[in-house]
Amino acid sequence: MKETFFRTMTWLHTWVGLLVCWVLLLVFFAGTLSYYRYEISLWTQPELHKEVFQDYEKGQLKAQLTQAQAYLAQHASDAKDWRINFPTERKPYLSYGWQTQPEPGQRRGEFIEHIVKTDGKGVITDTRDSRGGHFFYRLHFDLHYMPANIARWIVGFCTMFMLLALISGIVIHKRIFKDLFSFRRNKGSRSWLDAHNVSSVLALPYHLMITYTGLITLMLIYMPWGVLTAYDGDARAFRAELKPSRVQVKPTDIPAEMIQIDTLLPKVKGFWGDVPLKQVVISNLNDKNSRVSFYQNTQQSVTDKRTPLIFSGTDGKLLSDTPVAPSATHVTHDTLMSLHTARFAKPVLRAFFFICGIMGCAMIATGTLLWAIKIRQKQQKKIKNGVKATLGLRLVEGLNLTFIAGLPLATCSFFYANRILEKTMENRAQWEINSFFIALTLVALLACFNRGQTSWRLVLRLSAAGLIAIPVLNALTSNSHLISNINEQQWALVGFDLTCMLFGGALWFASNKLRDSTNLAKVKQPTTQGSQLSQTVKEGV
Amino acid sequence: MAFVNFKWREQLSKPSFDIFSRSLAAIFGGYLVAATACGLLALALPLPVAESVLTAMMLSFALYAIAALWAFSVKRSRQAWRDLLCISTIFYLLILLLG
Repeated sequence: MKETFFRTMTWLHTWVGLLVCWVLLLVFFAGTLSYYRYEISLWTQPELHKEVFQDYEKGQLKAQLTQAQAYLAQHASDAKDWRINFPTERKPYLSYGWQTQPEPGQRRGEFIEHIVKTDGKGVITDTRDSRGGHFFYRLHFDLHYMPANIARWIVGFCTMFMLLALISGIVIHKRIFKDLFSFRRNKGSRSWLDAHNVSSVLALPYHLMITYTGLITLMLIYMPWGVLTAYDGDARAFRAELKPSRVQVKPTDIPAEMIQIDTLLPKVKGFWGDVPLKQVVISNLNDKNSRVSFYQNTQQSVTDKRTPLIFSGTDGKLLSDTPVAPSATHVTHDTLMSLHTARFAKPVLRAFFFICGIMGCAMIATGTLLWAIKIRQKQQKKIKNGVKATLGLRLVEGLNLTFIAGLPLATCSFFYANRILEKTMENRAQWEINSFFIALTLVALLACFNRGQTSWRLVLRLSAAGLIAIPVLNALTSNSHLISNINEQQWALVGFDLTCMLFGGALWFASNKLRDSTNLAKVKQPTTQGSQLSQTVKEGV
Repeated sequence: MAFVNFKWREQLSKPSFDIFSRSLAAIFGGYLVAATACGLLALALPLPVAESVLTAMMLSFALYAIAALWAFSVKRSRQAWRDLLCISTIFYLLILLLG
């Protein structure tokens, strides 16, 4: 019985992993990039790279609010709401934003953001239309070119498979500790197995955490049944009880004079002290039911007590309940959510999350490469005799090339499109995204014809060259460059350039390694580890 | 008359069918268990309503994983279906009882 269970788990691990690995790779890759969502967005807005970045100054708040209100009243008097964003660590600029009235049939209007220069007077209105880091963020659970709710079910399904693959992977992995220290390089498929083991085991807590919390972030979609039984399916009532501040008040359509927002500052200070503010949102403008909500910058706290202070916009009365201590369940939920988004992470910890994410990508990629290599070994004799590789093998190899080598190239082309496309182009943001998928499709087409070394090397080298040249691109197409950014200590921009170069270098290195191990499928005498592997694959096939 | 000649009994006892059936049991049967457990816990947990719903939802994915692994660990696929359907029926009846 025990042996059968072990074998079933091996089977499960192989097939569950293989079936969803490419979607998972896309999700992991985009999710990993979204740890630097704001930094990427910053880089994709070169208009902001000079004379814009500033720190939060509590002494300036009053003046900034007064000026913001005057500016918004002049430029956005018929908006749905106003948002005044103060500089934070990761979005280091002051901006006035608003949402236009939604078109009939749409739930939301268009979001417009004007960024204030450091001199406090100039306002930048002509930033290029780009989704920036938010594209990757959305991509990792909404995919693209399809309705979001369908995409979220697909991603949820794959995530559940990932959880099963992880659990079964742990079960079949008898020597988890020993494998931490065993990496045998240049040993053909055994090196791939070792790489798979190392990347899985080293970051195992992270993989489990990110998978489970990923399911939890969208659990209202996947598991709404508790709401069905306890609230008779009234999801609104549930959300209202969970986060009372989220409930929107409808306008009364009775016009009313708005107060000066800055007069509320002393009251806010009375509740929160000198906690830095992140955002002020003003909704239902010039209406009897207008609301002014203050949000604090929660910085590095793990749980994100986001309960805002909500005031009436006409008489300045505090309307939200004074915050009560959240319950253990809420704190647990909030902690799990912020573990997934890493919103509390300072630069070093954030980098660590990023590296763990990369290891997740490596785990998925090595797993599926390993499968393809072993299957090719099995078919080697037939292939030598002129028989074509089976459709399954060709499909897996093609998808491997498309996603493993194609994703960096696609990302690279997204960044290049961001800088090269005409600024006034129609649907510009969409075309940046299209260029991401066009690159991916081109690699897929290439994979239809040739899935061998040449294709891998070509695609890897292309993206390597592209990424290494990113600082050059940045210097040519923006008003700052790597050196000036170092001088001005713009670490987000410097980090972006350097990370791209680093990854470009790594891809170049990988493409060179390919030549050495031309016979990836070199079979060595199976040892204990090898027999475990061949058993894995045998079970799988 | 290929349909008539198709050897149903033989096909059903094949290992490939067994695995196919287990997979379906794990995906759908497992979800059924998780969903009913989620609904039941939301009613049964001795916490304020919003909190028990939240707890139930957070736990349900762990239950799903356990149910799916269960489907692969029992001897026959039929047993997997039986177990998962029984458990979810019990949960469902309890929901009716409590709700």
